[in-house]
Amino acid sequence: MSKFSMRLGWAVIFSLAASLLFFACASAPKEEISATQSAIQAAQADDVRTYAADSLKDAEDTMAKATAEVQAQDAKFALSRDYKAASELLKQAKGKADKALTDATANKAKVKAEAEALIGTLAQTLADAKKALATAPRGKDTKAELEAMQNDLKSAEEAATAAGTGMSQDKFAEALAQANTAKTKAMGIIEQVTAAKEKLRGRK
Amino acid sequence: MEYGKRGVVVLFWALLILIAGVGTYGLWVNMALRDRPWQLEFRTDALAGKCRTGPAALAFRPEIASLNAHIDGAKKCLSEVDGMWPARRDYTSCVQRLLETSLLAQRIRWNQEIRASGVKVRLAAALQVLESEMKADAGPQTGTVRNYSQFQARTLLESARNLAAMGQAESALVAAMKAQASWAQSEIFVAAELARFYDEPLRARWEKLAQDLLTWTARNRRSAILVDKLEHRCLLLSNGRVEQSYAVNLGRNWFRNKVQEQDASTPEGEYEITRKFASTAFGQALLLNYPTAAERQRFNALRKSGQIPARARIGGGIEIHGGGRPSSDWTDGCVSLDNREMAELYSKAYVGMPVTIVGTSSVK
Repeated sequence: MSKFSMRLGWAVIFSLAASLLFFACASAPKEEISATQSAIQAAQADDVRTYAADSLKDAEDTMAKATAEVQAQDAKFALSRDYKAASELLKQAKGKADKALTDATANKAKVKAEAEALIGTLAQTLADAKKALATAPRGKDTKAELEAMQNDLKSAEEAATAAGTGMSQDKFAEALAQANTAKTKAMGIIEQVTAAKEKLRGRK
Repeated sequence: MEYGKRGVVVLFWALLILIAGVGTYGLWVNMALRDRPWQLEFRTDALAGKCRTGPAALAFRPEIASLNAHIDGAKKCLSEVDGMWPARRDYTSCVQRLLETSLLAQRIRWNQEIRASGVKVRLAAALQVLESEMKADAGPQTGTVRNYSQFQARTLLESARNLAAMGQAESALVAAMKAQASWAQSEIFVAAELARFYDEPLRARWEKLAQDLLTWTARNRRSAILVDKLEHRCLLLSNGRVEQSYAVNLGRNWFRNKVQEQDASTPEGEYEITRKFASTAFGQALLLNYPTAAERQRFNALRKSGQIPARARIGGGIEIHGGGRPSSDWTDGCVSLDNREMAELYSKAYVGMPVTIVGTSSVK
C-alpha cells in the first residue's frame, strides 16, 4: 500500500470519526427530563394547587426554563451543545416540584389542624352561647332580642354542621371557613348576653 | 516536494469529505424535525395539568378524558420516534399531535377560565346584591317581619365571605346562592304575611273603622286614638282631624291580628281605655278592653275547629304604654310609645276613650 493510500485512508477515517461526533456528541438529558416531568406531574394535584399554589408555579416556571434551555441546546450545532445549564435547571425544577408536594402536605396538615382545633372548641363555644341564652335577662322587653339570638344560634349550629361535613370530606379550608362563621355567631351571642347582663346590673 | 504535493491533495480530500459530511448533516437536519420538541411537550403537559385540577375539572370530565387520550397518543408517538435510529428520527407527526393536543388543552383551559371568572363575577354580584338588600333591611327596625330565613341568609352570607377570603370561590358561590335562596324564602314569607295589608275588603273595613272614629270625634267633640299598624303610628284624633301623630313599636309579630296569648301580635278592632296606670314597668300605661266579646267568640270558634290548640288561652293586658324604642317591634302585642310622647298622650287620655287599631287607613 502506497503512503498516499494510507494517508487517504486516515483522512477518510478521521472524517468519518468527525461525522460520527456530530451525532454522538452531547445529547439531551432524557432521563433527567423524564424524572422531572414525572415529579411535576405528581405535583399537579388538587391539593397542591389548593395548599401550595405558589410552590407549584415556581416548579412549573423552572421546568419551562429548563425545557427552553434543552430546546435551545438541541437547536445548536452538535459539537457546541452543552446541557449543563439545562441539567442544573432540571434538578432545580425537580427539587421545587418535590418541595411543592411537601409544602402542600404541610399546609394541608396546618389547615386541618387549625380547622380541627377550631371545631374542637366550637362545641364548647356553642354550648356556652346556649348557656348564655338560657341565663339571659328575660322579660317582655328582651323577648325580641332573645328570639333573634336563638335564630342566630340555630344558624351558627348549621354552620358548625357544615364545618363537620367539610372535615369529613377532607375539605379543610371550607371546614375552617364554616367553623369561623359559627364561632363568630356564637361569640356574638355570648357578647350580647354579657352586655345585657351588665346593663341590667348597672340599672340596679 | 513530492510529499508536499501529496499532503495538499490529502488535505484537499479531507476537507472535501468534511464539507460533504457537514453539508449532508445540514441537509439531514433540515429535511425533518430531528430534535424532540421538549418545550412544546412540557407546555402541553403543564396546560393539561392545569386542566385536570381545580374545581372546574369536575365540570369538564368528558373534555379532560379526550385530552388524556390525545396526550397518550402524542407521548406514544414521541417514544416511537425516540426508539428509532438517529438518522431516521423525525418528530414532525409528533409535533402535529402535540400541537393538536395543546390546542385542545388551551380550549379546555379557556372554557375553565371563563367558567371560573363567571363564578367570580356571579359571586361578586351575589354578594353585592345580598349585602345591599340586607343593608336596606338591616334589623332591628320597626315594621320588620322577622323570620328564621333572614338569620339563615345572614349566616350563609358570612360563610360565603369567609370562603371567598380562603380562595374557595366555588363553595363561596354555593353559600351565596343558598343565602339568596334563604333571603328569597324570607321575602316570600314577608310578602305572604303582608299580603293582608293589601287585601281590598279588609282595607275597606279598616278604612271604615278609621273614618267612623274620625266622625265620632267630630260629632262628640271628644278625642280618640287610632293606631295604624302598617305605618307604625298612633294618632290622637280630635274634632274630626288628626291632632297628633306618634311613632310606635308593636308586637314582635305586629303584622298578624292577635288570636291567642303569646302570639306576640297586636290586636285589630275597636276598643276603649278601661284603666289608666301612672307608673308601670314600661312607664305610663293605658289598658284596653282586649279581648272583646267578638274576639272571644272568634277565639272559641278557632279552638273548636282545631286551628289553635285546645289548651290555648286568649290572653289580655293589651296596653298603650311607654318604653318605646327608636327601632324594633318588641312587645307581646301592646302599643309602645316613647316615654315623653306617652306622657303627652296619657295626659289627654281618659277612661272610656275609644281606641281603634287598624292594619292601615288613609287617616294620617
